[in-house]
Amino acid sequence: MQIDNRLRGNLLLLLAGLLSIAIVIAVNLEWYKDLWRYWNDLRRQVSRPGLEQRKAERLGNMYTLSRAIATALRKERQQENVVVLLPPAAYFRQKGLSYHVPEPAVFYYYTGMKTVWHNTKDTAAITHVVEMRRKALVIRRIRNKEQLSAVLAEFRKYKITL
Amino acid sequence: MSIVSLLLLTILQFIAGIGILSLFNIQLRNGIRFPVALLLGVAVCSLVPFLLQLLYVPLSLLNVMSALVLTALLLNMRLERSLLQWQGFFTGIRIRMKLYELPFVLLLVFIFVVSAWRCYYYPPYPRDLTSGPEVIAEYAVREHTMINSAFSVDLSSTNNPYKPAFITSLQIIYKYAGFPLGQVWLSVVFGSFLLLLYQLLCENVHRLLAGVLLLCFLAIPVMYAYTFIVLFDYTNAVFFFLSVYFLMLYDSTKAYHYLAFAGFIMGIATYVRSETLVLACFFLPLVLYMQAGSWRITWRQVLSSVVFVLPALVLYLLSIVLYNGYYLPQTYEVGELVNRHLLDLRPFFDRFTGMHTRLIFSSWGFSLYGYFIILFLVLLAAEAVRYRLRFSRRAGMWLYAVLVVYLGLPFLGYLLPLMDLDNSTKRALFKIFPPMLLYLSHNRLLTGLSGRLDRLG
Repeated sequence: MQIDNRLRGNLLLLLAGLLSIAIVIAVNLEWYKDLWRYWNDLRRQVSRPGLEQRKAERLGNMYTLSRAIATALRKERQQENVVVLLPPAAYFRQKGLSYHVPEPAVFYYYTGMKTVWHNTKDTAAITHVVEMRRKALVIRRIRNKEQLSAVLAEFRKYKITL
Repeated sequence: MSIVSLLLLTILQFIAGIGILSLFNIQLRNGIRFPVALLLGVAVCSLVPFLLQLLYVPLSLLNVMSALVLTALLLNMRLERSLLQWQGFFTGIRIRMKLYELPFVLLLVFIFVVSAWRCYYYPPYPRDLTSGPEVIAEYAVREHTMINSAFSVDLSSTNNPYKPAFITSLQIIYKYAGFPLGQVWLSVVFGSFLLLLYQLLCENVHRLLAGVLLLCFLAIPVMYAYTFIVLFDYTNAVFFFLSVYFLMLYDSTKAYHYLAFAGFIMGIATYVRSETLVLACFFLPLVLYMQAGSWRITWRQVLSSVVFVLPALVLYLLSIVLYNGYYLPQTYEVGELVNRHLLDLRPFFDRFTGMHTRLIFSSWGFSLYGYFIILFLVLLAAEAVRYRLRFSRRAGMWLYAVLVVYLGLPFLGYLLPLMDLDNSTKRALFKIFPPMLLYLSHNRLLTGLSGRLDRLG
């Protein structure tokens, strides 16, 4: 009889527990939906362990375009002492390209290549510039001060966002 | 291979954690000793590469791993105490679970697995991480020093490289352990914290209520998100909570080494996020009250209370003043960040108001923190009315911790204007939730309900 009471109590508590879980989930439904979405992501991701693929999936254009710029420069064997001037994201947005330009420290993390923005104090170190020309992303070598001044003046029209 | 190295590293952390517990002569039951030792092990790991860097020892794989093993062994050097800890651990392993706990345990495991997977799978994302600790760690592994080529980049857009080396050190270790993205240490922190909270809740309330409360806590959306997005704040909240917990144990044992231990952990919390030093000072009145038993306080008690903030101060001086000032190639003036118009208290009240209108009681706030604060307030108000503001001593102390964060964050916003509302304060609020949760486990309405549930099973 005592065992029956204990079992009944445990079953009652189990029922109460399940009900409580249902209530907590109902109250926090958005959180639970996210959790479930993450679970579905997990099931999909288990078979895709490639590191570069994971980075591209998570970081998007910010990573893939940064890598593409660095790879293009490296192909030209211009890695040594290269400092690239990058325009702000607003510049690309206006030219029709969605590219959230990473700040220099992040770009260096992604690619191992040094970049600066137009607010840099060390403009003399700039060797290359990334621009949009005819809806294409181009990398140009800086040939003289006049060219650099013109590019900087153009980029300074856009606000830097992090 | 990665799984094996993770397992070995976790065992090493556990050994180091047990060593610290034995050095401070801290006695805990197994359910609490295990997660606390793991958390302490993570703390030790975060200090080792940093200390090697301070000594200019190259951070090669061999040096870092040897230093970790050596540290874990040295921490267990007080053999008589250490053996007692190990003996207690191995003789006290008992896992009991009631049938009605099963749905909660399964759900908690599910929540943990999802978080751990995302932590492992995705690369570091927040710019606070990638523009600071992560880029330094990445090049530290290649160049064997934290003072590396990451500092040769234009850093005018960020102050993140000048934050304490807590994350950098852990990232270096886990990258060496075979995780190119690091980060997995956060899952060790999260898993240990989950286990610890469940054990602590079960001490005061029925296991069913413990499960419900823990689930409500885990359903704080933004806090859960930061169990797989590596940044400073989640770990900071964990160590902050742990320090307050040991402060409570000091109150009940009156043994001085518990106070020293609580101070040591507050030091770790300060090493994770340097502003925590200010919050540590907010606890001094409570420490004084615990020592004196009343508000009649002697100078001797004042001096001995300093032991609580001393480790935090030392770690702040090491990780910010010494390291930033004398090791890093570019200096970062912390003094310039401090509000120069301290007599004008408006920023404090503005931040205090903003915390309510923008963060806590707004639709954005509910999407960030869910309904946990509402649950806390309702049960706090119910207990206050029902028991005429007579809280138990433990409940009162947890409420004090809640108050420290509640008033401390606007104070920090007033002191350091760079600490904004939408990012810094939003994440700093994580520290308020674990004390709220533990208060709820001491809420007399819930403990009363627990008593009735106990009769059922």
